[in-house]
Amino acid sequence: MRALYQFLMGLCCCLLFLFCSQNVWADEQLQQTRFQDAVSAYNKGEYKQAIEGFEALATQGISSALLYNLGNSYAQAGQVGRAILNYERALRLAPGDSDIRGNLELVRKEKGLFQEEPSFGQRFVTLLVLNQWIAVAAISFVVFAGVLLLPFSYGLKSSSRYGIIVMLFLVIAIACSGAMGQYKHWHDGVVVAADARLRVSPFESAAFIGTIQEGRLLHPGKKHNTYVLVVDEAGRSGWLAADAFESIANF
Amino acid sequence: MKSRNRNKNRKKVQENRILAKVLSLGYLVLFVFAVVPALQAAIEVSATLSPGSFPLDRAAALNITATGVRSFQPEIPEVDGLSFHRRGQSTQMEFINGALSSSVTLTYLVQADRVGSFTIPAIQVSTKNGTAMTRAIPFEVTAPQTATITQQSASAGASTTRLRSGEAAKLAFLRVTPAKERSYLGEVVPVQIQVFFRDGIKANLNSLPQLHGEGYLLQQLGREPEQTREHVNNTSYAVLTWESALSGIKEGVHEISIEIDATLLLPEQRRRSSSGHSMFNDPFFNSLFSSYQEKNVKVASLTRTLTVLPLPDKGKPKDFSGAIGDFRLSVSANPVELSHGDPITLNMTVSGQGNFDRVQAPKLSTEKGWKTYTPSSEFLEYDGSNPGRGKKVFEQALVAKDVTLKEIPAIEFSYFDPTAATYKTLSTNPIPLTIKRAVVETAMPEPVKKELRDKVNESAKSDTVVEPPVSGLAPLQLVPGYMDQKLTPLFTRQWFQLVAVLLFLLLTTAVIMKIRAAHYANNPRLQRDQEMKHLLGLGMKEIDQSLTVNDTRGFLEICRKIIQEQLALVWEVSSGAITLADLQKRLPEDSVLLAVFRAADESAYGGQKLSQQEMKEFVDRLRSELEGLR
Repeated sequence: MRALYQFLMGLCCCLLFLFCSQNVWADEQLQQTRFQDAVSAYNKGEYKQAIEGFEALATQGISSALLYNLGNSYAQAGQVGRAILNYERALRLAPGDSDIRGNLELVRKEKGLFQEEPSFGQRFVTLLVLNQWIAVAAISFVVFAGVLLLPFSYGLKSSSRYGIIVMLFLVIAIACSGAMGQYKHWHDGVVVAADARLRVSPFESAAFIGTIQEGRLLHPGKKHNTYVLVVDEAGRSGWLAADAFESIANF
Repeated sequence: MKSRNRNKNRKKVQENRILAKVLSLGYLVLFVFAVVPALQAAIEVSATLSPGSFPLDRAAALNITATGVRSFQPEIPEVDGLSFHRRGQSTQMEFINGALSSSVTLTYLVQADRVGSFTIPAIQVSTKNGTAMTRAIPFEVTAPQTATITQQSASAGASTTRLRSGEAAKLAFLRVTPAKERSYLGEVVPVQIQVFFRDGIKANLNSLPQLHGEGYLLQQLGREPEQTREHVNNTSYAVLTWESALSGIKEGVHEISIEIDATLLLPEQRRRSSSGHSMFNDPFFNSLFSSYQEKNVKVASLTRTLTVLPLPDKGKPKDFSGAIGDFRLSVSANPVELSHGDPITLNMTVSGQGNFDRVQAPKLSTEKGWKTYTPSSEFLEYDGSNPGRGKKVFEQALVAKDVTLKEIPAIEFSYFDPTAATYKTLSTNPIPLTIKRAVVETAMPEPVKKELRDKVNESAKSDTVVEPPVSGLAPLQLVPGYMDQKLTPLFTRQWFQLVAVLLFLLLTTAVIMKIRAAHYANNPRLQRDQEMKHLLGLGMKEIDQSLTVNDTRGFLEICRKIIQEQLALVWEVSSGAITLADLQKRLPEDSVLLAVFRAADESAYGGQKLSQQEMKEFVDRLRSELEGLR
């Protein structure tokens, strides 16, 4: 009797597992099909349709490949701002992907969005993305704690031990600096409107300070009604209509 | 051997001590950074608006006071329809019950540009001790007072009077001096606005000068006025001077005037005594005992007649954007030696005096062979004393499409010169260039995933491929990849926070254990007691075994061994060196240790036997006496 009960329970569990995995598999298949449909639309030159397809997929979940494809579709549709926005997002997920970086540079060059030569500090901070810096700091901290708490007789000379501790401490400090440098720009965004204008104050009647190109990277400050205070790469600041600006981090 | 062990132990103790100190310091730093800021005293801030309701043509004073600080920085909010002008700062210091407290008050002038209900939102005040918020202040702005001369009853305390120059020049008057009376549509005409207050009168300004009349706009008066002293008709005046500009917006002849709201504090003359010879009629006593009467006034200028002329159609250049004034153009390009396809940054500066809001980017005389991008612009005002004077800097990217180009063509800018009454076109010299042919084509980034490219090519064969607007893009990726990635920093993710907390707890536990170990290593008495306890435990087990087999000799041998071990630790000698003679010398006569030791010796040499009962009694007494040694 007991054996029969165990057999039935096992059978139920197997069926449940099969049912769930089938659902997951079906979802993945559906995503794959939609993804391929959007790719096909892109190849036919139907960029608007491709954008709709990729955007619909992005509501369910994102990947660097999806954002990269979205960036390409926007670039081909002539929406430079959104193309750059999606390339930047894709780079945050896959910082080492040369396709993403190459296309981003190409679109910037094509549209005259030339960036200033970065300083040594900026180059250092951009060696890794935020999460990589955090990972380096966290791993170093774990090792640091391990070495610090290891019994002294554990096969390490006292001087080597203190050397390793100091080295790890330096790595943690450098990684934290890198992470802070990256986090400072975490909420940066991109101008996504074609004729974005900076105003002196956040009201429609306020005077214009100047224009700002679509696709430019901006650092946002405080918000007021439908305006956001932004600072561009050249240090110019002013109020920009919120719908002309989209943050890279807020997806 | 022993001394080596002792040295080793000493070294270990020292190292543990250093580690414990390092860890304690680390925790102290963590405590200082995490906890101490929260313990700092909170500051007190308040904001008041006076008066609580005011007409549109008046202003109110917003006082923000922070107690317990020496300086602070409020974050003045942006409110639609309101403008805030900083008017000053005052500091107050008080001794209360022997304690010194200071408060700082910042005063702002609040002006509205429409009638209605407003609320100044909570203002964030940042100080060295932290931040605090004031309360929101609701208030009403009522319709402006229309009466030009309103003499209210004396009991009302205040009255509004319009003082026009020539009528009451003795108290205060306003003078408007435009640079010229005839200007072109859109032209910026510098204007000087001077408000004169007779010496001895105290005055508060309730508004900035406002233009009355049609056809002209007065530029925003952003800066503080210049304060001077002048003599007019042998009377000394304090003069406030604003440099601004008028801009004609409608053709024709227009009458304009400028007004400013002020509150005058007029000294009330003491009533003279009837005799006329009292010493209190002396001016000294008049000034000492007289009080002040507050009087709200509108100081207005004489009406000026100005003419706005239309711009001539004759000779208007095609690229004329509406710029009127006197301008200069300078252009620089970087780099001038480049490879084909490299961008050139063109910096174009239009400087001079005029209506810079209508100045647009200068253009290349010919764009053939060039790809141009939308320029960005920035206006820089030289200084507030000369309105309309400044420079507008344009930055434009250019890419040469033709490798044979030898120069950047002349750059042109057209404007209307109101002095000469003609249109003028400024043109720069062409800038020589050296363009080298690019050796390697860099536009096409090499895709990393060749497999995917092959797939795309296969896919492309089946579909009709349309030429893309941006050429050279790496192809799409055909596999969506893991679709649950997140654009959030690691430290905001729950699993990371959980792991961090676990690690922290683990580290804390390890640190506590290390500190305990360091404490143990640092305390020889504790070490000795622990060892004595440990050895006694082991010995007692052996005694129990010998009791069960009723082995008197073995029992007494073990007892002697335990006594030697325990006393060796207390007396800091080797256990084997302790004899009955040592015990007799150092222990009292009635000590059970002595009795047991003696019995053990006798048993070893004389074969003495003990009963089970005697052995049990020995055990209990021995245990209590040995435990008493610690």
